[in-house]
Amino acid sequence: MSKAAIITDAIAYIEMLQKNVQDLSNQLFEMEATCEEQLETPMDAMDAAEEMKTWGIEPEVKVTQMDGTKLWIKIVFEKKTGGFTKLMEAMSVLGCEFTDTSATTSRGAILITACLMLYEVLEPY
Amino acid sequence: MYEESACFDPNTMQEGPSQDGFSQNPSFSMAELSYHQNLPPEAATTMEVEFHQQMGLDMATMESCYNTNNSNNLIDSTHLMQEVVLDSNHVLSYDHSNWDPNLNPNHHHHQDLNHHVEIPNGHHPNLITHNSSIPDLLNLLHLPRCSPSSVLANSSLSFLSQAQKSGNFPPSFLGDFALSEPGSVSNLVYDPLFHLNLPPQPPLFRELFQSLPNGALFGGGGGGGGGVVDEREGSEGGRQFDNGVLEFSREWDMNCMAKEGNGKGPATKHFPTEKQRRVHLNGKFTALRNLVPNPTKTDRASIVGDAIEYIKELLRTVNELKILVEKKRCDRDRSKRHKKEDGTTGDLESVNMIPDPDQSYNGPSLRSSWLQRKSKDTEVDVRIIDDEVTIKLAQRKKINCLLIVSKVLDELQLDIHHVAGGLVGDNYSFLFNSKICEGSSVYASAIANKLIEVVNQQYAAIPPSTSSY
Repeated sequence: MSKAAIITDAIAYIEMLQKNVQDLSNQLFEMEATCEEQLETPMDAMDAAEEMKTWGIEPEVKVTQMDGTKLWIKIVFEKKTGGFTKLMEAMSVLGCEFTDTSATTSRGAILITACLMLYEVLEPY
Repeated sequence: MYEESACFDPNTMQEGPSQDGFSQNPSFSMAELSYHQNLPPEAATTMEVEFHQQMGLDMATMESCYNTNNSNNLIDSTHLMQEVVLDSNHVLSYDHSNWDPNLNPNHHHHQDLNHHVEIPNGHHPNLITHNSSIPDLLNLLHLPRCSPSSVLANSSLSFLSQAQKSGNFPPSFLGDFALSEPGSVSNLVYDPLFHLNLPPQPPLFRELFQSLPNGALFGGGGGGGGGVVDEREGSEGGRQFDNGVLEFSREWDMNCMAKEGNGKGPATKHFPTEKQRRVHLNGKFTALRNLVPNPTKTDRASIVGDAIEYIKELLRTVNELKILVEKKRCDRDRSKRHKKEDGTTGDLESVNMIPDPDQSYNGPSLRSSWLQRKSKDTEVDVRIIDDEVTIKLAQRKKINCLLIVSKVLDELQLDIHHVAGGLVGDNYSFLFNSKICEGSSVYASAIANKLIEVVNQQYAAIPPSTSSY
């Protein structure tokens, strides 16, 4: 096969595959739209709480100050869908920003350790 | 100059149908003649001489056959012509043996000329006569014309009509040729494969092609075939014309069979110049580059490499989507079955349904996909295995998008299980591990695209350096 033919075939094949992807995703979208609401499986909240109790994990919060505006924080709480996001939102509202973050989920609980950078000096309370 | 010469009078039309067998042949001889136009003068001169020789030799054999052909019907005449051709081949071989080895280049040309003369249906664009040599040739060819004048007239007529139909050859040329040389016309009837058996031919082809600029090949179907061979010549970087000529012949055949000036099908592009061909090829490379989402470099090798990766990624995505659609369909059917159930038996059914064959049986339909997307400042790598999604995100600018990203993941119904990352040198790098929530049917490319979009939006919305760290 000549170079030009190979390139032409490649272009045609890629376009065909892209079309397939588009069709399949449209089909999936339609199926999702027309699909009746399925009963949501019970939220993990109950399970998470149960599990935490089983494993003896207690929710906790630890904060240590490192430098002037840097804090180190460790949080353990019950794993919930969207919980991490809520935490992030709360922190940003408070004027903190996560510099280094690590979040781990295990046994129904989530452990977050992070360095926080303070933008505003918090009133001590 | 050939326009005026010997455009055969339609008035001389007689016994038209019986000459149809001849009609195709001269057109190709004309093509061959025009092909020779570009040969170097010295070669042409030699060719001229040798062509005359051959014509002289052939005439004797041809004339008698031609006369007999005239009275036979089409099929018979074709056979006869083929026999004549074979005879002429013998003559040719005789000619070749007589040639001085010193004349090899010209010898080759001449050989080629002879061989090409014998090729039917314009298989051989190689046969070209030099511009200046053509009138001489024609004059010489005119000489032996005698008895089969009526035959010639008829055949020339049909030649003309054939030429006009195919539009491949200047009709006048055909007329000329037909008038001047019935023997050569009959020579044109040729077994297409015959020339392949002749060993000295491939080099001849090569040399003729070497001496032939791209534009020399006659237009239409001939040009198409020439274009094809040209491409091959360019792409193979050498003179591998054996296959090229073969394919050219085939295409030529198809073109003539179609009897349309349809040479410019998608398979055969004709480029009058090498530069056009190069430009066209570069255009195709650029088109390929524009199709892939992550173009890196602009050199050809990178383009091809990126295209390969993208094709693999598209195949993965297609498989992933197919599995998703299948799963969705099963889920929907299952839930429909649930609804139909009686209330009392519903619980029982649901209990039995829990070990869902679709979800627990992951063997052949394990959903997996992986793709990467890069934008100016962001790189996203999304891997999905079954219901877990692993996202690696790297961004060059110093904007902490952790919050934004986690919001997006929530929107996509991804339950974040693990997060790790922070500032590494100039980049923010994060790793997210999340589970796909029940009932959600996100797929890898959707995740990647959404993330890229959101992060870029953030870059655009927020001034580059909000705070110094």
